[in-house]
Amino acid sequence: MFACLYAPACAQEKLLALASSFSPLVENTAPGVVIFSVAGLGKLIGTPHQIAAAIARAGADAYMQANLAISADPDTAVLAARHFGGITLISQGKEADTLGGLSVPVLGSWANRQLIETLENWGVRTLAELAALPELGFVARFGEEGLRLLRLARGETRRSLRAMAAPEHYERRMDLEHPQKLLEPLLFVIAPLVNELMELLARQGLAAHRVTLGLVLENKSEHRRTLEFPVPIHDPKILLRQLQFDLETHPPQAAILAVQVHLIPGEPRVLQHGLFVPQVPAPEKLQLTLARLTALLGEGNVGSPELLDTHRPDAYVMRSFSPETPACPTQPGAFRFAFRYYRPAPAAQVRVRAERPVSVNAKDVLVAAGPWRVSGGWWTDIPWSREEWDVELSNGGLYRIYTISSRWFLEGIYD
Amino acid sequence: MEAGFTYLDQFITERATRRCWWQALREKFQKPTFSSRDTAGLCPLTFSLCFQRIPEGEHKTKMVTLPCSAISEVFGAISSGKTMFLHNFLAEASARDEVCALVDSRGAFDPLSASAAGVNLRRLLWVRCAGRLEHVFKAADLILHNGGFGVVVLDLCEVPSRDLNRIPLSYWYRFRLAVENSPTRLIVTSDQPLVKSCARAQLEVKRECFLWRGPVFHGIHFEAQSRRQQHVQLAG
Repeated sequence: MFACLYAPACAQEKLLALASSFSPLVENTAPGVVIFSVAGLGKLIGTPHQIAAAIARAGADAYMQANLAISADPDTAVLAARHFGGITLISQGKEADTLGGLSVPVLGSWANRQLIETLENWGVRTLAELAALPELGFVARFGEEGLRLLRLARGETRRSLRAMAAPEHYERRMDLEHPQKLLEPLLFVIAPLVNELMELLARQGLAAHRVTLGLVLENKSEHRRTLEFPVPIHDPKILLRQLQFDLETHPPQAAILAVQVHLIPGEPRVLQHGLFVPQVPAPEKLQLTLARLTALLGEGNVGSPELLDTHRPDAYVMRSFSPETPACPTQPGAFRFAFRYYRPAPAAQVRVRAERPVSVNAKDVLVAAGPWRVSGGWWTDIPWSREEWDVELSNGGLYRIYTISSRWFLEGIYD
Repeated sequence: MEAGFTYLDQFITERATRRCWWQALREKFQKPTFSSRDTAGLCPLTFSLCFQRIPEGEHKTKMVTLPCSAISEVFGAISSGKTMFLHNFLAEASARDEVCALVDSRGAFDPLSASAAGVNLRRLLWVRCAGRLEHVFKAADLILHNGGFGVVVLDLCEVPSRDLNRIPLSYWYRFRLAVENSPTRLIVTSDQPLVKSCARAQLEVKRECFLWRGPVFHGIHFEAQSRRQQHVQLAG
């Protein structure tokens, strides 16, 4: 049995919400039209009359004005709901009798106008007259479309519902019986939650794009960590390892009372590699390796450098590494040397004679080039200004030193 | 049949000539040197990897590639030009769309000069180890076992000799095993030779001179000498 709600003046969301409160099988047929299955409601509510009354009451509570039709055939229910006001109950086998009085043009949304006009020219005015036509001859003249129209008039389409996928919240929570302090037992709690959610995603052909782990702590606070992946992950083991590395790096400050995992789904990556394209690291494996490296070396020490648009020396930011990002072609510039920084720049003992450095850290200066005065950022809160020298020392190295307010620093070495 | 024989003869002759040319080249240059000066006068950074001087008096460029699936070692004194050599190697690799990784023991990498040399920074994974040698080797091991990287550079420059001499040889054996069935080139760079028999190619970089244009430092002329000639490939 199927029920159809017809309310052209009502918001579609309200119609869908009303239908969803009675059945998980809901078809969003057209604007203002919703069909849903009431097959299992007999045991729960009662007879079709009682079901119809229950739906009508729920609609009235939601301040909705709609036509309702219940029938064994979904398209019959749609026709009845559209063209009969109030509540219509059509018992099985009585579909053609109920719809018989409707005129043929009501089928306009199922058939083309030319076919309807042809039927009118033939003198077929009502659905009852149409249903009475011989099937074989009708199909010979109008083909598949004619057959469909004939079945609509007889109330015999018997199609399946195009059920709307219920909006899924990929979220699971588990309350612990005792506060948990150690990470390893906690992973045994997180693992089944992650596995269950990833299985749900896999069934719908999706992968995890972002994961949020919420830990309710004993001190009434919440420890929340969100990991976002450049490439959606479909392997629960990799996701679990990522969470493990993140928790090792950012441990909660108190014992844990409850665990909550929330996944944001994304379309899985589909990529066809070329035969002659160089091999690149597998994205999922790479993410795991980057997480391990970050856990080992700390945040900000693993990534890809991005130069800042400034003349300030050593100006760059560390971005997360993703070889999938489109490569921008770089052309070799006019540099004929490479530089190696000492980070942070150590203080240097520089002896100056006639305003030129003559020794650096007790090593004689053979050649000194400078001073190169550089400054910038004076229009910001962090202005910078200094004097640089390139000095070749007696140990064979060529260094860059600089001075800021009479203090000397060794910035690095040319190599 | 006759035509086929003629073609075969010609093929054999060509092969023989080519072999003779290679043998002559090897005899002539038992230890070939690669100089940044060989490209065009005083333009040290416009070369491709490095270049070899072929006959006496004539400057002809030959591209030299370090072996795949093996460890190569590049070493030299301070300000010898080894970092410049590496930047150019990374630039060549990123131009081929390879993904590169740099395990930086001291965090000394300069993105600006690398970018100016042509390194595509977006395809470079930079790992800073803040001077902790055990982290350097753990990080390199993770990257090598991840796979998919075209070039992995292990930068051990300016690490004190006493620490370098304590590196167990088994580390290099493990790394050699990790790369031997992959297209990855592992390049170890330091101030002194370290990898010993595990390195298939060894290049020693020596500075010829600093270039000054008036008071402005302009560049470094360097010479890279192969310690193991048989493993250095001439590619064109």
